[in-house]
Amino acid sequence: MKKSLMLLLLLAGCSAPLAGTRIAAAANLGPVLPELVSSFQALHPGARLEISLASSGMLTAQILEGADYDIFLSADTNFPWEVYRQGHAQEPPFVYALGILVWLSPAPLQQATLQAVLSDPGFRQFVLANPATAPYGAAGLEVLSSLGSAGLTNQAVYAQNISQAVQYILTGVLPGFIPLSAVRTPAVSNFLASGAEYLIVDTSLYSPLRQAGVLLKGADNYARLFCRYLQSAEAREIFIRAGYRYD
Amino acid sequence: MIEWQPILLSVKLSLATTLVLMAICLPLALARFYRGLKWGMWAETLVSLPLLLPPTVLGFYIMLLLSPQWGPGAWLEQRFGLRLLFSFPGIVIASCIYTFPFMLNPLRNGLQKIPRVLLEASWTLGDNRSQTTRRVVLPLLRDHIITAAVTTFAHTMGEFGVILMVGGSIPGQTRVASIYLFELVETMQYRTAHIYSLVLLAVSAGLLLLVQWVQRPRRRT
Repeated sequence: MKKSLMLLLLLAGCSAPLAGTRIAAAANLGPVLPELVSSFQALHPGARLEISLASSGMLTAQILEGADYDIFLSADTNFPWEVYRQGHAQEPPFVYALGILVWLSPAPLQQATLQAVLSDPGFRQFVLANPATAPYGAAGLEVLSSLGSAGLTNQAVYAQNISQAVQYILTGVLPGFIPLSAVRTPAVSNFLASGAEYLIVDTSLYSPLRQAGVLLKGADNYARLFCRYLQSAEAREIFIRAGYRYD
Repeated sequence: MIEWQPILLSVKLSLATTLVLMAICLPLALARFYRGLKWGMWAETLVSLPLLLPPTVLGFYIMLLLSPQWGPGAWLEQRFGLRLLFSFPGIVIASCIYTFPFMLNPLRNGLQKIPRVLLEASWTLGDNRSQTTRRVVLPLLRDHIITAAVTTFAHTMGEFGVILMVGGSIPGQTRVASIYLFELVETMQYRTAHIYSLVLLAVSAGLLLLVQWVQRPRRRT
């Protein structure tokens, strides 16, 4: 009896929550965040950052319901502003990078422009992240209507977030809209090596994909420092290498 | 404004899954029953595996199974131009794999309870195997068949993880009630989400009640 109690206490001790800084990040940041975090930790060795990835909409819903995050990094500006307006943030949101939308095709592209690709009679299904929750999905939708192909939405396969969109493209062998940041990951690099191709969508076809972050209520000092770090020249360089841009 | 299409689609998926699994599991269970075979350790483990595997893991491998890049998916695509990933038939296949034990186990348990003397009696009276099945086994198995069908149906209604992986949330094809509910919550449409949850809850509770009613203790006349 005593022994099992001891064991229980021991187990409880092991599962005690890590008192780190918790970052809720949009799924498109998955590939770039580890590098940002490690370069930040080189400056602040005491910092412990934990990352949770999901779609921006999902994370917003969690934060509005009181999820215990310190920083929210969204794939757009609306969700962080909503969080701020509802009183869950310490200060107004800041833009940390702009996303770049690409069209990834599992086979070599026969046409030079996206318009030509979309108007091809053999065009079948394509992958789009849920436009209601994933800003890159909304941007893809905007591109379709800019190009007069809004009718193609009934051929869309909807993914819940950007990582799932990439997964659908890779296993489903379908083309689709994804961020440039996702192209620069090992999985997609291998895909490109086996014959896939991508083209960067003309940025005039969709509203700028400004990605904003916000420091949440109750955040510690490291969280504040990390938010400042994300806007530094060093972080910007990492973002650009990972497939983001600045105006 | 509430969209009912996802719920109707869930009902359609559950019906299809129930019918397909009944067509597979009933003959399978009967065949083993007549031969007096016990389920080996491996078979036992394999058929119950979907109960324990996380749906996302199962979904991921079903996704690879259906992928047109290799294996069965590639064969179907080349041979028949058929693509199952992100389609209604695709999620029916996924559901059947995921819900398999829910159909098989009640049927097996029911068959185990049938005394072999009854079969032998039927054979002595000159009935062949199909007559025995029809006149003796199936009537005795009736409650278990209903239980198996209802739990399969109910389990499929609530299925989420597997369909999330292989479905692709296409309205009218793969956007079932559970996926739609997830999207409602993500987009903070809580009112509609509550209504949807209530409807799903009512359906599930109703079905479970039906199972209880079928299995209620009865006096044999």
